[in-house]
Amino acid sequence: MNDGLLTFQNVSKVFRRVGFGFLGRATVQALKDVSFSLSLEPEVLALVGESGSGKSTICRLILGLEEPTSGEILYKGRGISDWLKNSKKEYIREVQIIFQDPYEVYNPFYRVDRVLWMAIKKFNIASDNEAERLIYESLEVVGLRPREILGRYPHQLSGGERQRIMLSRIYLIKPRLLVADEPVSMLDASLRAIFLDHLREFKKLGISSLYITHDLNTAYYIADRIMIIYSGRILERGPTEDVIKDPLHPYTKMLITSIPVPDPNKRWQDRVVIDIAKLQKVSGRESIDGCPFYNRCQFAMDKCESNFPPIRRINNQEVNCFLYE
Amino acid sequence: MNTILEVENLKVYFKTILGDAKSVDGVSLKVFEGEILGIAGESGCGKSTLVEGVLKIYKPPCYIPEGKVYYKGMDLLNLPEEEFRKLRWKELSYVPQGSMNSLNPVIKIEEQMIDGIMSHTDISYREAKELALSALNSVGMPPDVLEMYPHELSGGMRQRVCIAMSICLNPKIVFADEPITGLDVVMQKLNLQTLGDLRDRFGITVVMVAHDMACHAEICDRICIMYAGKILEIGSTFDIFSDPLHPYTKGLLSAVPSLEKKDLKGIPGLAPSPLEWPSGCRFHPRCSYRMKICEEKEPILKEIQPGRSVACFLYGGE
Repeated sequence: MNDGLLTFQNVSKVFRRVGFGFLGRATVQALKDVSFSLSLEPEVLALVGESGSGKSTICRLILGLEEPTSGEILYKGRGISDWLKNSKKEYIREVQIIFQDPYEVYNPFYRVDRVLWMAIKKFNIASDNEAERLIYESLEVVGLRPREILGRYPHQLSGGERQRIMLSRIYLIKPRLLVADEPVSMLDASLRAIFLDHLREFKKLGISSLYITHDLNTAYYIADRIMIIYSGRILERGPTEDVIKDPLHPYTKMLITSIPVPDPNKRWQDRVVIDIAKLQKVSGRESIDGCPFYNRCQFAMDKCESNFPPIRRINNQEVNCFLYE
Repeated sequence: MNTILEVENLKVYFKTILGDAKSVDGVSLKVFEGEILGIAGESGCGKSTLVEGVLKIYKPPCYIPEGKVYYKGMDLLNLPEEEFRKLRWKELSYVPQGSMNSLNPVIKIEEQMIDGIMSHTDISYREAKELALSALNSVGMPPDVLEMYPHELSGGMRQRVCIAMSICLNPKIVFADEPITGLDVVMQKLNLQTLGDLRDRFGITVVMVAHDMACHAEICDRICIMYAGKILEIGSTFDIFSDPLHPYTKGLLSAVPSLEKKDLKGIPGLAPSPLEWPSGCRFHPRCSYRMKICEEKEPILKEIQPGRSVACFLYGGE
C-alpha cells in the first residue's frame, strides 16, 4: 500500500474537549482506523458523508493542520510531518485545497489579482513578463474573461466567479493533489455543472483530486471511486458505478434512496421509517467499538454493537458489514 | 380550486447608494387553496424577497413601490400593521431561511414556542403548551424536545421545530423558505415529507422556496420559475419537468445532477445584477435561442394552456 500518492494507514483522531472535572475527560472520536490510498495515476476519489462524519478532519490531516492521534499518513511514501518539517514549500506546492466558502479565502482589502500573483511569486512559477500571460490563460481556462475579473475586489464578484478564480489558481500552481472540500455547495445548479467539468479536466493535467462532499449526485458525476464515511469510519468503497448502482452497506442504501430524484413520476414510494428517538442517540458520539451505524440500521445484529466488521471484498467493492460474512 | 392568495404586479426594491435594487420587479401569482406551490430559481433571483414582501416582514432599506397582495379579499399591503400582526402566524405563517439557526440558543424550545403562541393569541400557558405539543407531534417529534435547548438537537431537528412552530396556530398558508438547504440527505427527505404532510393531513397550503429542482419534483403540485425578479414560467410539476418551455427552465433542468444521467450542462454566463437588469427579456444575454426582439422588448407572462404560463417570444408572449 506504500506505493500510492497519498496513503492513510489506520489513522485515528480523537479530539479532547478542554474543560474542568468530568467535562475534561470528554472526547470525540473523529476518525477511527481509517485506511485508504490514492493511486499514482491521476484519479478523482470522492469522500461522501454526512455532516459530522469526519470528512473535514481528513482534509485537515492531509494539510497538516492536525496531527493524527494514531496511525500514519504518507504522501509519496513519506510521512506528512516529515514533509512539513523538511520540505514544506515543496509539499504545499504539490498539495493544494479548495475550500467550501470562496469568500473567506480572499483578503477583502486586496484586488483578486493578488491571489494569483502571490501564487506565482511564492512558487516561482514564472518571470514577471510571463506571469501576466499565464494569469490570462488560467482565467480563460476556467471560462472567465480576464478583463472583467482582474482589478476587481472580492465583494464585486459572485460566489461562482470567486470559486472559479480559485480553480484558475490551481491551474497556475498545477499541484499533484487537490483536496476539494465541498467546493460546489455554495454554487447554483447552473454553475455547479460548469465547475465540476473543470475539475474533471484537471485530471488530464495530472492532478489527482480528493473530492469531499455530502452530495452523492455530484460525486457520481465526477468521481472514479467513492468512499462512504460515517461517524469516523469508512463503511464502503469502490468504483463509482458499482457503489451507486449496487450499494452494499445498509447506510449507503439509505443514502441513495433518500436522494430526491428530479422527476415527479418517481416520488418516494415509501413513507419515512426513521425513528427520531434513534437519531438522537447518535448525536453524542463517544468512542464506540461497534459499527457506528448500529443505532440506525434496520439489519442490526447483536454482534454489530460491540465489534466493527472487517473489510470484505465483493467484486470490486469493499464493505464493512456483517451482512456479507 | 379556490384562489387563497393573489399577488398582483408586486415590486420589492432595496434602496442603495447606486439606485434601487429591483429584487422583485412585477410578479403576479395566484396561490390555490390546498396546493403546494414551489418557487424555484438561482440565488439572487428574488425568491426570498418575494415571500418577505408578501408577508411584509422586510425592513428598510427594503420597500414596496407598487403592487397588491390579496388574501381572502383583504388587501394585505394596505392593512395597518396591527391588523397584519394578527394575521401572521394565525393565518399566514413562515419558516425562515436557515431556520435551524434562528432559534435562541439559551432558551429552551418550550419557552420559545409558547412565547410565540401567547403573543399572537390570548390563551393560557397550559393551553399554549398543549398546542405546542400537538404541533411537535404532527411533525413527528417526541414531546421531550420541549425540555431541550437548541444545541441538543441536530440541524434537521431544529428545522422541524421551526416547522412545528409555524403550524402551532393552525395557519392557512405556510411559507417555507429553503426548508431543506444545508441538511443531510436523510434529513432532507424527512423534512420534505413533513411539509407534504402539512398539506395531506391538515390541509395547509404550502409555498416552498427552494433552489434545488429535485426537491420541487418531490412534493410540489405547481412550480413557478423565477429569474431576475420576474416569473418566467408557471405550470404543474409534471408539465414543467416533462416539457419545459422557457429556455431558462430547460437549462435549469439539465443542470440538475442525478444518479441516472451523467451529462450535466450548466447555463453559461452569470446572473445579472438587480441594480441593472438587462433590457428586453432579462434572460437574453444567456439564452441560446436569442432573437432580435428579445433585446428590445420584454415578453409578458402569457397563458398558453390552461394552468401553464410562460414569458418568452418563442411561444408568443407579445
